[in-house]
Amino acid sequence: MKPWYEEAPPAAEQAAEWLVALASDDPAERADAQDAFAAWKLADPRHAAAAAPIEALLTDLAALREDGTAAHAAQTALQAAALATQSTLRTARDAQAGRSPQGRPPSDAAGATARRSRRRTLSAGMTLAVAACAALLAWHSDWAAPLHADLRTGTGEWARHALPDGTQVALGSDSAVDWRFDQGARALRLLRGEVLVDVAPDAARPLTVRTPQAEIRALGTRLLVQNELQATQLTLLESAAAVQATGVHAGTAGTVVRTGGRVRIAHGAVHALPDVEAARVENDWLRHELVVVDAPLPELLRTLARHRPGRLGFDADRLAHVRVTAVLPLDQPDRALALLATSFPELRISRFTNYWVSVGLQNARHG
Amino acid sequence: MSAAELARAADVGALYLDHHRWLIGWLRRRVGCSQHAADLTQDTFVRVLALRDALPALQAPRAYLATTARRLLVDCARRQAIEQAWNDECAARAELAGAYPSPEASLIALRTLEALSRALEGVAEKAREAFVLHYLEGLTHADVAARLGVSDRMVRKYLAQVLVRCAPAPVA
Repeated sequence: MKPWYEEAPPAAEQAAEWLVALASDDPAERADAQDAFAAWKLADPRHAAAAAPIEALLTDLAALREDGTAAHAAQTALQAAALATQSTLRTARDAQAGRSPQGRPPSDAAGATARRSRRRTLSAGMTLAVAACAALLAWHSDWAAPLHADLRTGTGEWARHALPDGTQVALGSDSAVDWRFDQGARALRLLRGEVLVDVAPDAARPLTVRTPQAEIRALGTRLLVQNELQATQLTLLESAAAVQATGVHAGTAGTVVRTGGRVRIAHGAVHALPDVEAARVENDWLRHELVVVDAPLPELLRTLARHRPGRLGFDADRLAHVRVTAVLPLDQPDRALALLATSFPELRISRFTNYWVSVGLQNARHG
Repeated sequence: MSAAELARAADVGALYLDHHRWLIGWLRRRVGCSQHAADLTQDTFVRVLALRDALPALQAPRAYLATTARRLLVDCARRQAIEQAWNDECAARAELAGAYPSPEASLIALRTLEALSRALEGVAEKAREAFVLHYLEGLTHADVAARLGVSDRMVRKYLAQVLVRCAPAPVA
């Protein structure tokens, strides 16, 4: 005897098959399916009940598809959801297995690498989890902010502005900045993206740049502030500035960063990064060039992603061990991707749609 | 409230008393914030209470709570990611076209995407791509087949496989 499910497939499965037939490329099959599907639903109320939710979803999807921009938004949203879900699950699993970020001491170099990459996985997952349970209202104000920002750029745009005090502000791709100047203070707020600030000297009114993670105080100076998910990077192009992590008691002196100095501020702490050649960084930045020397590939991809419309998907953990040295045109992100593919044949760049590109390894190694 | 419902509520009450502290700690280790952990603990118990079926004879109540809480975290992350991506896209589009989708349209879109995202979870990559290309990009079966390098028949199989998952899980 056949098992019951082969004899009578559940109604949902039949409904799914009918619905696929309804969208067949063959007009004759579509017409036939239309009648047959209607008859099938009439034959048993359970059939109609099984089909109803799927049909409702397809109706809503069709509405999204007809509106081209909404379809694009939908794809972006779906991929974002897939990533968020994966990473949340991974965190939960890792945590469940008792692997804390502090882990056991590494026994060898390979162990250390594994531990580092796990820590990265964990912190990414944690971030999402924390973000996930943030109050919806706070969240809305967060995304709405750049809309009302004083200065902003879209993906792939650069802009320069002169503020009334003579301070020059250059915004990178997909960036937003607010500014408030009054008698005693000049305040800039980097809401998103990156900004190069050429501060007009004014000893009476120090200028501060705030990001969600950091507060940077400058007198006369030139600095580059880059904000990514949960971290701020500050590069001093000229002179000096004091930086402290948000949430640290006021009155703390903060860390002084001088020309060529670079720090990263995340999770309430300021970390020094290797010094850079200030003039070159500035030059590259203004020419929209991305110069990386022996940097982890995910870091480079994150930057590229901010410069191209649509979604650039990749598994940061799996790519973390790939280090790259490259000069890429940020204002032509697709060319940059093509250049990467040429220089690194082990990369596999799949293009599902123009808006949805994913980067992986040729022979994806697991674990 | 029926006697059965009362009994259930009493069960959940006992569950709460015995384990809510532990669950707050468990969640705090995951989200890194006591406030959020406390909120999520509350939501977890609400979810347990809302389940229609009887509480399983709880041999491992903590594993059961942890599973429920983990599901909640995933749903939360998914919803947030979808909303963020959607709102970002809408903001970008408002910039270009000066038009913003109505709140109703956004609500429907978000609900649809959440349902779809849940359905696509755990589906093989090709099936997922087939679904997106056909139902969101409007490609014909033949075009999807060409794009993915599979047969028409396979495309239909992929599509049906995802559609089945769009139906709510049958009540056991």
